[in-house]
Amino acid sequence: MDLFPVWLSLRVSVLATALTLLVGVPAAWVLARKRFPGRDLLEGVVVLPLVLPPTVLGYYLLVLIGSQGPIGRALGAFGIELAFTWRAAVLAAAVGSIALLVKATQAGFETVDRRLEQAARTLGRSEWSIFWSVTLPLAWRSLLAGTVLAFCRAFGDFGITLMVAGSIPGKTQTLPLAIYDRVQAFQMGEANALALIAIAITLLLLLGLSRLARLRY
Amino acid sequence: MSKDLILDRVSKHFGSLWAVHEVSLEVREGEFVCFLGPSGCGKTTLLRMVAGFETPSAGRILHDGRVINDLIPQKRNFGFVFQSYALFPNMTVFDNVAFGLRARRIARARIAPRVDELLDLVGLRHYRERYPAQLSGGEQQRIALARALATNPSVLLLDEPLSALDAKIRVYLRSEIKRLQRELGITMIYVTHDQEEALSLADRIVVMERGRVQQMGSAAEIYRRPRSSFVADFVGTSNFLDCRRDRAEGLVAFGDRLLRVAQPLPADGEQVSLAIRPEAVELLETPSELGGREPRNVLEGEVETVTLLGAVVRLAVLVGRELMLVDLTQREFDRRPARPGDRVALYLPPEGFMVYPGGRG
Repeated sequence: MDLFPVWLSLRVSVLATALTLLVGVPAAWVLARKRFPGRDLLEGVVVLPLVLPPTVLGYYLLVLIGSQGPIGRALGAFGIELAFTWRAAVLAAAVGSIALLVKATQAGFETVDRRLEQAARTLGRSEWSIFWSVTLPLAWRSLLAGTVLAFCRAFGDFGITLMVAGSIPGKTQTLPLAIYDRVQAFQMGEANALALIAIAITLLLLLGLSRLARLRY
Repeated sequence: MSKDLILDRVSKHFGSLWAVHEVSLEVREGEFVCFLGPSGCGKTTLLRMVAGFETPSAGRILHDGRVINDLIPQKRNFGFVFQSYALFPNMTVFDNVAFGLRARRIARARIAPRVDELLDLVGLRHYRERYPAQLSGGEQQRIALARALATNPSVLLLDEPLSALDAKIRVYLRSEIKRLQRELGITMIYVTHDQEEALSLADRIVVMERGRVQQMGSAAEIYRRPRSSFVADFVGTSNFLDCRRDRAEGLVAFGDRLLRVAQPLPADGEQVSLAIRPEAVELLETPSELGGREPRNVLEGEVETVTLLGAVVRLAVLVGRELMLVDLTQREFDRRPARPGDRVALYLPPEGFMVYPGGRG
């Protein structure tokens, strides 16, 4: 049996989660702590991927990163191709899952007593240092939960990935796409095996999460 | 040059609400000042502006001769103590107290002795390795004090620091804070709605109401010469009598009675409000026992309740339709006991009145 889709899916979702963390944690902090014009709009945009049909997201993403799209053309100038590569799959998985990370982390930041941060300010600590020593340690559980959910969502993405990366065997065919492919070809045994692997991986992650969440700080 | 803190016509509004309105005052280096007032009077907003958590909408805040309106809290070097303690729950007592020291790039070897010194100062060195959740409220607030003092702030700001604590602990910590202030000679601004706290702690009290300063002065000045009926009512207890000016000099009409008042009456207005402290009212043995007192100022009434308040006994006496409070020392009360239902004669000395124009609110 070809295990390539499993490895690809793991790689894609790890990278997608890293990307999500990089963008999502600052976004969550801004949404939890700052008041500015356009804040509600930003919050709406963040949640949108959660409620829009994946094909709609995939379509617009493709418009952006396709060889004629603004991002696609800019990257093309450097010889980097995005659409219908495994990198597009990473982007697709990240877009699909970022809302879960942002919402969970934002809720976590919001439960951190503002007075703790104010106290830290009067004690002379920089905002950066306050974030790492006070805010994040007190919100880490929500951040962890958001990260695991985002990972699982990225791992299971189907629609967006299909739209922007296609389902090229040995190249962009992730685990969910591979399962669909096997079913279409009546290879039920393989479909079954891949599905069980998918379940095992996500279950393992969720169990690990609940174990970690029992730690204090 | 001394490091005075000066507020110059400082105002703050939230939308259309003026939380603080043109407050001007000076806090001298080493002084203990209390902002006193009911909730919503703007005292906490004022303190938060001094701390740098809020920016004034108008006016200037100066420290050490510099305008600090836009200075971030990190750069002010003012300590802050919250009502809710605001200790970092994820850190031990030691790490909490060391928190500010670590921001200052102080050599690691010098941090531990400094933390121990502060823990000794508040008497909690043995709790070094505990977490805040393992301490009582009073202990947590002592750690919060140590944490705020660790970095040698030039001003310590305290926002209702004792309001969440039990009465006994409150009184104990009050004296602890006073002791720390004296020992360290640090400038303190202390916000409270508890007049007893303000009277016992402050070198100077700033009484606030609806965003404005009503009166500023020592505890004795505020208590003895409240400048408005609000202050007379809020600081300590006062009996109020709504009176009318009489044609005769020094007399006012209270119902169908005339009372003599030693203080000059306000220049204009028909209505006069008299206030008198419960301890200024005397209980006479008999209405005829005057002994040189002003005969007009004797009022008769019926005792409604007798309440033991510790050192004093408070009688509530119904005079006409007004309830008058009378405070007696235990000794006075033993000499002249009173029970609910007793008819008594009260003497209101002419010099015991505080006089305010107009009726009350």
